[in-house]
Amino acid sequence: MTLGRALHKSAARTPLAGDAARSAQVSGVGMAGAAAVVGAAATGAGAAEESVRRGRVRLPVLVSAVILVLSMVLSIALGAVTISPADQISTLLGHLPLIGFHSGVAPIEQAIIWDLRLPRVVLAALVGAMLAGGGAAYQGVLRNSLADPYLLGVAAGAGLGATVVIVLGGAGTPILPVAAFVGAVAAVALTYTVAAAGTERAGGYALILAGVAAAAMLTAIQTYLQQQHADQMRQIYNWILGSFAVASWSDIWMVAPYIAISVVVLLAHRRILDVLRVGGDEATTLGVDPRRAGLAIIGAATLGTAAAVSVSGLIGFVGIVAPHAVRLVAGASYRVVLPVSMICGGAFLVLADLVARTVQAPAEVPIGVITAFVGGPFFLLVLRSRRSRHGVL
Amino acid sequence: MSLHSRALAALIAAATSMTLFAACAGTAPADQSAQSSAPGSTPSSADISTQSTSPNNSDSGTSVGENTSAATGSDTSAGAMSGSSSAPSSANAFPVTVKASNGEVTVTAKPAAIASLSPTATEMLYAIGAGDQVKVVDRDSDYPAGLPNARVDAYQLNIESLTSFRPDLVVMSDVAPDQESKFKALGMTVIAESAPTNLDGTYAQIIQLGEVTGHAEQARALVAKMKGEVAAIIAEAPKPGGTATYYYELDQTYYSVTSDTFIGHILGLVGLKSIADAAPDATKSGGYPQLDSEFILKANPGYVFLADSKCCQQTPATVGARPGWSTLGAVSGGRVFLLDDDIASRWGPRTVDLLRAVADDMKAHPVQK
Repeated sequence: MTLGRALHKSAARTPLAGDAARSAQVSGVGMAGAAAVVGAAATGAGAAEESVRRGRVRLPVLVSAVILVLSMVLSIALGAVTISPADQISTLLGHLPLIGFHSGVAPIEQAIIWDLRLPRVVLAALVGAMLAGGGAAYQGVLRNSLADPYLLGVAAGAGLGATVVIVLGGAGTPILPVAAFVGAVAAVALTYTVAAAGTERAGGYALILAGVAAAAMLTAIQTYLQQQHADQMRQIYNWILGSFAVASWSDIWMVAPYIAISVVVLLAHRRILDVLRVGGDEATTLGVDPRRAGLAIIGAATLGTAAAVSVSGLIGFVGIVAPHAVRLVAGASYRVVLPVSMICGGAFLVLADLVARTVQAPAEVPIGVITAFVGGPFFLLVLRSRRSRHGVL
Repeated sequence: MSLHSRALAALIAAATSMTLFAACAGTAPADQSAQSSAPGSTPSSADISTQSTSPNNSDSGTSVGENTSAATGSDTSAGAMSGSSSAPSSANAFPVTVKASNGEVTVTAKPAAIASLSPTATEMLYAIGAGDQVKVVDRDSDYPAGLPNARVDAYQLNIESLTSFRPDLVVMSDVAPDQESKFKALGMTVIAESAPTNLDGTYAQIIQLGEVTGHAEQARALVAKMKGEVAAIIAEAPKPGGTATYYYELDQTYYSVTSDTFIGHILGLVGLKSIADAAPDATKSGGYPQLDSEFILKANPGYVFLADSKCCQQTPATVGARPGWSTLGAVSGGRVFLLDDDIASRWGPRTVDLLRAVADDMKAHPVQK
């Protein structure tokens, strides 16, 4: 309750939202309905105007989707072992259900495509989409352009969970992602509790500060464990840097439901995020309860991010830079930023993973190194070329 | 308030459902966790020591021939009887099943292309004459001379790159379950030989690698030779008495080893005990506790062994120059010895050289009573 005030302290002072709107917002499903109401109110009813706006959303989504598909195709095509395009296509066809196509490709080539490359590509796309979408949502709700999906302790919690399992000898087992996920969710719960405990006056920064405190605490425990088990330091370090080296289909099936739910909830809130951008008072006037909306968005973003990092490790940079790059190119409306960030984040991570496994073959470079090293200059480039036209962030 | 508790409850429910999912979808997580504690240290060494202490010595835990389910003693004898014509020198009889650190491993034919992803395994394979079959090694393998140029990184393993060398047998020190399933999908056999806690473990691994590579005879000969040399070194070594202690330095932050580790066991063969045995977290750290300067000075070890000479340029002079260390009996008596970092961190055939070097150092600089 106090947390909601921490998010948008004005909400309690101006209880203008109608009872109907309020009751519609009680459940997560109701949020979509509220979104439609607000969307209509915010955009006006003019059909012509609406279609123009739709075009403004459709074009960036289409362009980024093409980029994503191209990067996935490229990533499946390239690798340490050269496989002819014909063999690749027949391998993929052979794995499609119901067709009954039997490719004559050697089993090892099939396994390279189907068991090594494809899970990597799909998982990288999922994780990249989630991190970028989560980042954009956090930035919107907290109205802080430096917010990233790890801000509320997800990374520290996941790192601690993973470290505990590795220290107990569970590296590489299916228990590791579960522990990382539980750690991430528990860390955010801790952040919430701390923020809610005594910050009536602290305002919107309470949550961020609580996140910093919780992350520092959990990281301290993680570092202590790591230092006590020096022999497993390298495994822990490798996990923290992030990798898709052993991505498998079971990883995908494990995290896909969480990421899917999170993406759906976030996309359903894209108009509300636009409304929240102008401030809590105005949002309330428009029938949005910023407190509830903020909780739903942060909850969804956290859940998806926790699932993503549980299988990928702590890949930095995507969540903060992908949304900003999209804003610089396609404008600040969340109806564009949210879907396009997700698609571009996925494409970026797919390409980063391609670089990670090929640039220094036969070794792998940790993907976190690639995302920061390649993403940094790219972001500067976008910043330089677009700042004059769109103003500051 | 209620909103909070509802949000928390939702998060907890999500976490629980994920756990359940992993339990159902993951390939038997309970089994794998039990197995995966092997890389830790104790369970794997238990595997090995079980083998080495069982009656049939070299053949225990190993069955040759069609009988692949073999790990027990009775099965072993049955296997030996069924293949009686070639049982004693069954070097080239495939398929062969051994119980390695990653469980039972069956090799169906003599491997033509081995990937050796552990420096210790590389040394063992070359020492038993399987070097011709080794086509790719990890970056840390540097002995003996003449290793293939093909390299992979064992710690940041790019499995597809490894596949490009088409190995039929992959030897690692530890393999994670998720890696293992990838190898399986690619049709490669992987055998893990993780760090043992004593020389018997080394012998057992050499025998196993001999069996799975078709060099069982040479492996047995190597083990017999090593055993003979070790016995001779021990017989000639000075007997320092029950209280001779050492400080073994892994790095300059005073990480050390207890007498229960592999290297501690080796030094124990010539009658030495580690001062780290008395460290508060000696067992909790898995035998590799971090000491502090005061602890070391107070313990005043009879010997100091530096296993950080190559990595960190530590010498008797740099150790003597540390604040307060000149008071140590080992420093004033010239009993600070350099060990080869590489040999000291492996558990292969050259362990005998390490033992010999220590015994020679002890002879040259005895502790004055």
